Amino acid sequence: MSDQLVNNIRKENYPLQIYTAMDNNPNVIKLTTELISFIQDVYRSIEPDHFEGQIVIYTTIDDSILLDEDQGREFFDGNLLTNNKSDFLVLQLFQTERLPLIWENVNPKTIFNSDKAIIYSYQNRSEIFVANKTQIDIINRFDCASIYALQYHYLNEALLKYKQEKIRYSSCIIFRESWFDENRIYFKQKPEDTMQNSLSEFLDSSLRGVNVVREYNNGASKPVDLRVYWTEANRAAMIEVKWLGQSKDVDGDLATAYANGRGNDGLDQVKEYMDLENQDTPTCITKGYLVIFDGRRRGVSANVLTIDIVNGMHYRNQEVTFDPARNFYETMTGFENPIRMFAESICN
Amino acid sequence: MSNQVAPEAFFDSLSLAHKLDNFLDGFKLEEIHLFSYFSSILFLYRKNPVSDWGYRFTISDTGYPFSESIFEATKRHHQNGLFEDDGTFYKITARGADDFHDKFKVLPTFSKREEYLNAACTTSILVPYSQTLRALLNDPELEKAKEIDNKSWLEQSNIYEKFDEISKEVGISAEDLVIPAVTWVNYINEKERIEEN
Repeated sequence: MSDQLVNNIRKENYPLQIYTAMDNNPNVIKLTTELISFIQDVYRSIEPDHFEGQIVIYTTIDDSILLDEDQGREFFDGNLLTNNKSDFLVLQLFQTERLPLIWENVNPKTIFNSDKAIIYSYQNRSEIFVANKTQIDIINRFDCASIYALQYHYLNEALLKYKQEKIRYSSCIIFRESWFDENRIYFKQKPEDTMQNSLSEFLDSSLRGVNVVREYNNGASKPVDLRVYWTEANRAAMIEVKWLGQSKDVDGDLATAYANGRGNDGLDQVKEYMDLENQDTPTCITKGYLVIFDGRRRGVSANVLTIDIVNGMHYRNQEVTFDPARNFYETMTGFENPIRMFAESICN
Repeated sequence: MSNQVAPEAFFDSLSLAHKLDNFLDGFKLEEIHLFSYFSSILFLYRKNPVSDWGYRFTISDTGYPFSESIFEATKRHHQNGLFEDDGTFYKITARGADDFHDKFKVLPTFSKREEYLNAACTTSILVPYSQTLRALLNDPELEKAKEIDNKSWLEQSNIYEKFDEISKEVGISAEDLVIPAVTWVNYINEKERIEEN
């Protein structure tokens, strides 16, 4: 094996690195496992991506407490963390049967000098361990803030998989029903229901520990197309579904058509859902998604029954342009970038 | 009277279900096969003979390790109300969890298997699950069986040698099985990454 391979294997083996930093103390492996498990539990209640301060979670080999115990309090209710705006959140996990302690707005700087502590620190999408004063960088290969809070990462991954494996060639048998014709040039009239059903079924069967609800009513002017919520973490995602392209009615006459601008309506709706959700269910962390099924074709009219590659694929790489005044996905926490899913036609 | 399922498979599948449900919020039945296979490799790593594990594996059409004994055991757990499913994912029921803790885990015959089952599942806490899954499904023995379309028993002794070699190269001195288990997962993923580039 090459030295590079060996080094890379070591680099991401955090229990091994911590064990080595703690002078090969055999108890450290169990402690590290429990600490990481606890970090994941903490992240069931707080989304690091939405937290602007520093989160420090630590344990010590002898259960010594490294901050002023009087300033801390026992931690047992995850709601304490949800939407917490502290500059510093520090939690200590114990080996003995006692509740963890939490300190809010107490600077944890001093604990990093301890030779007895295994410390995890998160700030601004960067996370590290510190063991016996040795810093161990955590490598994050995902599109999320922490490798220990992967709920939204798995949702994003599922949406990407859905786009590539189910929509691009209309491989999803439910989605396929939204086409009017075999060549996939026109959608049926009002294909929204079929599209929502297709996405809902896919997410339900792809994600663990979630419930997917369609037509979720949160008091907005229209119900949310899909709401995904995690049963064991206080996370939810509101998904608005829009489509672009030309539809035909049952008689084969041209019906509704949606072009680029339709995406803007979707952005407004997602914003409304998120504003309401953040007001009404502050104990749940919510992200907003706009999914656009793109079936645009160039040069279609009522009599076009076949399409060549130039016209069929004209919009394949053409992203939707949004009104700059509606760029909520750049300005609002939790508003994700819109996802366009281009569904290809069968071309001559 | 129906046949009794293999006791080792009965226990392992219940224990793995309990752990995977707890760590991952649900599990697929094929993941029980996968993690029992990984546990058996850790068992070999401790220099135990493969025959002492109690059951063996072939490869399924979906590329997962497959054990007939585990298949029968999970079917039984489902029939007996220890597992429940929502179509795609399974969960262990409260009765399943109670049975595991109160009836089976305490038995010495089974409790010594816990070390291997626990180390295998702990990787899914320590390494993001998608990476663990990807690594375990790219295990060299499974890859080889897929390539030659081999439906006979998976040959686990070759994998043991590789596992042992990597652990020595990385310099593992700990007795605990968790570090070698994570090392194995990281090795396969890292090798894949290097090959992809």
